[in-house]
Amino acid sequence: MSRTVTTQRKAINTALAWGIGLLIFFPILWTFLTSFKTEATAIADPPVFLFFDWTLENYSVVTERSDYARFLWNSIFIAGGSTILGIIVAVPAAWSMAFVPSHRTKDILLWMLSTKMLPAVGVLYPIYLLFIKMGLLDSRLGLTLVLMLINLPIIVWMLYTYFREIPGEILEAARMDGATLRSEIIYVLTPMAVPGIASTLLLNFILAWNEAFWTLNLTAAKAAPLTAFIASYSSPEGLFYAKLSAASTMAIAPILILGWFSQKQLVRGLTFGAVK
Amino acid sequence: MEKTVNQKAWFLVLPVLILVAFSAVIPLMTVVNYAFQDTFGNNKFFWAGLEWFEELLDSERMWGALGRQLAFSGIILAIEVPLGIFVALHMPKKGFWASFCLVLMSLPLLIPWNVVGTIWQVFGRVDIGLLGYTLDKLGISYNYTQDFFAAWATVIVMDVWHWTSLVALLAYAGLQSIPDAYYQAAKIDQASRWKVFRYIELPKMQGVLMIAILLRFMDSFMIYTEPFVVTGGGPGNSTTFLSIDLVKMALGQFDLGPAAAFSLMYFLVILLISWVFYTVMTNLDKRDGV
Repeated sequence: MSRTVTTQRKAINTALAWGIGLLIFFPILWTFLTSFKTEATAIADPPVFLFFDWTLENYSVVTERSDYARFLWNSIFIAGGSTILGIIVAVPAAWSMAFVPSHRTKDILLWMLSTKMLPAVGVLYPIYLLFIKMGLLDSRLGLTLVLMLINLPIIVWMLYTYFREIPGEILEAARMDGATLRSEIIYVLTPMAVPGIASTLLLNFILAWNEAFWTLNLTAAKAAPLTAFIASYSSPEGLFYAKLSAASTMAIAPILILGWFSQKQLVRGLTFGAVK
Repeated sequence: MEKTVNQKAWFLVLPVLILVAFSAVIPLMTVVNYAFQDTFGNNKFFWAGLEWFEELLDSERMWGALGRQLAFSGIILAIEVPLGIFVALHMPKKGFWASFCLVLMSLPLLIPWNVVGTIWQVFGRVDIGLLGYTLDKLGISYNYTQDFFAAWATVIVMDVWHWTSLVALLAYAGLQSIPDAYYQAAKIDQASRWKVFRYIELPKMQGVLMIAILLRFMDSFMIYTEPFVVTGGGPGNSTTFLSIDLVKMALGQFDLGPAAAFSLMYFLVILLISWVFYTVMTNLDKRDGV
């Protein structure tokens, strides 16, 4: 960096960055800490920060009361299934839009984006009726399909952006060497496209995992994922904050761990490929 | 040769087109269908013409929700975009701290939306939440379930907490693409910090900022889960945004006709604002369209 920054200014900037970082992190930390308190400590006045008797009681109560493993498996199935299905359909489409663009490609992309603008609430009832008729209500398959359709425009957009960055000359070179369309895809394109696909996969997995509107409205007992697991603890009487915090922590832990181990793809995905 | 490749290419796009059309057109048709019909609840429908739309245009409830929605989206964009740019400008450019910052900032984006609501619901409680408690001890009267201003402040702070990171990450990505040579040239010309920002950094960020603003506008305009969990639209109607109102209408009262007309207008408003914004932005900068 060639800009001159005085030491004083640097210190202020560092302090600011840390301050903002703490502000971002603090609500999550607070939830995490509360989950280890007893209900009595959780509502203590004044609130205690670190020095209390840490207890795992809430976690054992929560795991006893609801079948965490089943919610977790439903979340994995729905988020994973919808993302993989979406990618399978979207990769060929994005590939051909990126390498064989026609004058309508841009219009198609914009049209796809515009389908995301119909408020979900407005179409809930028709979809609900359709689901009853087809027997898909409260089934993992039904939810997987809905989330796949919802995220498909984003998957196509992201893949298109990544694929467009792959230089076309490489494909020409492969064709000069007599590669067929099939071997072109398998041996040339796939290796270059894998990082982009990985980022898209990750981001859409997270989007599907976090989706709370459709998952809450289209499932009941059988297919409910972790978002419903949380909702079952935000009881109207709202007295059990420590347990609610424990349930929240259990619901976000898997995705935070996944995010931590795949930071690079994650940041790439979140910025639609703009950060390398 | 070229021709066959082209046809094959179209063949590959087709499945996606059909799926998106299916997922977009069928719900849209159903909504349109409901919007122009009425029923006595016996599953027989008859033509209602523009009745629902006229009713909607006359309803103060809808205009109220629309006004609140516009105010909400306007406020969060006015906070999140400058704040996100500011954060991006002050982030470390490389090394361990850069990736540490990036991961820290992506945390709020990884949390299910109803958990975001839950976290802030607890965090803002006057009796047990750290934020509410601290404000209360500082002598600021704050109660998001009863006070109009506090409810708005909570919903806005929550959204800023949740989504500023996205704007910052995108702006950061735009900044990363500026070659060092630009800064060196600016230094030789003795450009001020402001001028560097105005004539080098801002134009380079324009493309990603447009994506950020569009995404934030669309999402905030359709926001439902987070404010619903925290305030439930209250106190009174003060945080009843369009989606919350629509849910009340469609699922609470089963007024399908008015609700469908409502969704249709909702959709058109989003489409219109996004289109105007997109056109203005692409005309401002022809080189850098998405």
